[in-house]
Amino acid sequence: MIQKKICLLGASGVGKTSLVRQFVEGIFSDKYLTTIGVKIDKKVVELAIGQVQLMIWDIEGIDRYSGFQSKYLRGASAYAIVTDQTRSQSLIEGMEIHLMARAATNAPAIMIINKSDLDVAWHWTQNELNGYSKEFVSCFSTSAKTGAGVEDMFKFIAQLSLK
Amino acid sequence: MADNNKDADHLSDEAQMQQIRDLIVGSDASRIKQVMQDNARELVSDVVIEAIHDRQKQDDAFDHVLVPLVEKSVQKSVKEHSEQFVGYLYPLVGRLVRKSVTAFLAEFLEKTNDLIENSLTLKGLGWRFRAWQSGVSFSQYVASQTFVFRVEQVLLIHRQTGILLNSVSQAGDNSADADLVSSMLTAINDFVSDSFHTTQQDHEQNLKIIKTEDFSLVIKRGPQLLLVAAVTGNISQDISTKFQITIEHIHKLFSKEISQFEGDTLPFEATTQPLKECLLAELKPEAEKRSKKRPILAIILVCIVFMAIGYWGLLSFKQNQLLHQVSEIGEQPGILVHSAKTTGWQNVAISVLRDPSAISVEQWLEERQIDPQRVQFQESGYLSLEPKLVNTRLENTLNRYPRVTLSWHQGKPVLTGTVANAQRQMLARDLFAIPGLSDANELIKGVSVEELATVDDDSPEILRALFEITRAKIDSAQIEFEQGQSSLNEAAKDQLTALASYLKTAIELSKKLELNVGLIIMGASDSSGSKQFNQALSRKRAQAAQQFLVDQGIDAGYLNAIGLGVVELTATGSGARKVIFNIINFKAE
Repeated sequence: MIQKKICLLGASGVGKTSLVRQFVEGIFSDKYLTTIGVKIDKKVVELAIGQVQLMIWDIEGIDRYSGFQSKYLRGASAYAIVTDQTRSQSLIEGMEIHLMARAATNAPAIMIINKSDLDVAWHWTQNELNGYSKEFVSCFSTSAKTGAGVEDMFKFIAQLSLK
Repeated sequence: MADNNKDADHLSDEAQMQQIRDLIVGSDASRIKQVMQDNARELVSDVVIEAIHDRQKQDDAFDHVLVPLVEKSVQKSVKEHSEQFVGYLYPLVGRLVRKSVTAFLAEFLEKTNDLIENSLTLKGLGWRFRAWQSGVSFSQYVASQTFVFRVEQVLLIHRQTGILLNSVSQAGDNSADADLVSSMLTAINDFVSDSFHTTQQDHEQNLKIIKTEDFSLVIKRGPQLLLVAAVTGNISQDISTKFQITIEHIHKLFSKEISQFEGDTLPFEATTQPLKECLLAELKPEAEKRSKKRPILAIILVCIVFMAIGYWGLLSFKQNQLLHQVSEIGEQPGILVHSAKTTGWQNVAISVLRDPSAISVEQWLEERQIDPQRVQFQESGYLSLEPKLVNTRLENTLNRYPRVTLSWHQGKPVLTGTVANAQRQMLARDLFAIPGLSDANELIKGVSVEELATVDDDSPEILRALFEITRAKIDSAQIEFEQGQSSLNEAAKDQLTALASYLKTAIELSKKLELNVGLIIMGASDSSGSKQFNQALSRKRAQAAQQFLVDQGIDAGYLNAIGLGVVELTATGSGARKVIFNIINFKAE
């Protein structure tokens, strides 16, 4: 079976771990996340061309003061920058992380705007958002709480990882 | 030229080597190459076997290349020419099966013995407790106690992505989370190398071994792959080197697959063989000694189990035999088996319908010498129409009629005999009452009624009755005469002959009944003629009848002839020209 490594990155509290939990049935173990800054789960995704096993590296939330363990990105076939549409800061931080990630890998990236079940509370206009999302292959709106868009997003990323 | 060759020996660099070659052969290079190519076949065929041998001796690489090829070609052959393969293998199969059964039994005994020893012995219980105490599974603890070391699992991991390419384990059941473990291990390695980096920026720190009290992960690093061995106990340097050699081999053999790796782990399934060779183990000296012992405990247990099974089988066989035997009662006429089943360890329960005329269950059991204690019977009554039972009923009925005999003609009953009418009627009633007897009418025809005359019955009632009948016949007789005549005409003589016979019977009977009898013969005349004449005529007529009877052999002492004279019959208005008779009887003195 084809196996692909993908990474989820983003500021603290944007809901990366929740997204994985929504997507993956059996959670391997949450306790490693706080220990070494990464938590890994797997999930088999059915695509038209066959099955792909995603090894999902959920990398600890990063803020501007803490460093960034770029080694975790090694060998990733794709990565996602996760933001939170209730916090303007999460997009800025997400873009900073994206910049750092670009230096470490050439893998394609997507943007995820999470918490779509809540009202939009950041001050970014659609134009500004469009500008930011140019940096990415695609942009997804998801809700880890209701599951809206999660499956589609992971399917897309699986497809992306194969390219 | 020779000097040049010597110089070339000292040079190791490939480029310099090439230069030298150019110098030596120069423009002839292509020609030499051509000659070599032309003769390639002969050149290679001269050394190919030796080369394979040398290489195999050197590092077993030939095996790794050949095994997957052979496996594939055999698979293909089996698929396409299965008939021929069956033909080749057929003579071997029997031996193979025997061998594998023997091997299975040996392994089974060994395992059972281990289980008993480890479970029931004091040491085993101690180990169990300590395993529980230290939170590892019992089998793992036993392994740690029995082996100096044991390689439990070997993982082959793609370094950059942390993706698990292949894994093999001692137990055969690869942990479902091996791929997650692989990724985590990569992440931990990244974490460690990042957290504890040295002053040399370009030098990356890498994990080589992760060790717990009795468990270690040995990590061997290749340029693109990791080989991780999970080991219980302490491994020697040799084994560690063996892992290193293995990963180098895999790198060599799969260099193309590794460089083209895009997440597809399928091509790496061929690494199973070299990885399995890493699943090594070494027994502790005392464990080794122990394993050479004959597995006595297991043999005893197996024997007990076999004996128990055998005994149970015997009981079960006997019980079934008994059931079969008892079920045969259904073949008896008048008995139907309703249900028959085994109960308990050795008894049977049977429920039957039984005709009262059929053989009793107890008697049948006794005839068959079956222990009645082992048979629970439940019996319900019913009426059978089976011919045999009908015949039994017929026989029982006829027992009450000793004068009727029963015989058989072609399986059909035939009755013969003679009985009194009343008895015959009773018999007919009885025969009709027998259920299932269809030809009662035919049967009864064979029994005839006893003629009264031939009654040889001395019972006084019958004698008396016969006497009365005879007497009535005599009393009702009268003979007629012509007017004024006292001689007997032909009709009168016939009547008197019959009367004589009745009278003889009556006399016989009266003797048996101890009666005295007498016949009064009374003559009468009509009123024509004088009174004296008529008186005389009537007496003459009586005497004529008397004389005739005497002539017929009747003792005259029984006869009393009297003349009644004129007897006027008021109904006709004329007199009767008759002689009439009357028997008188009285008890003999």
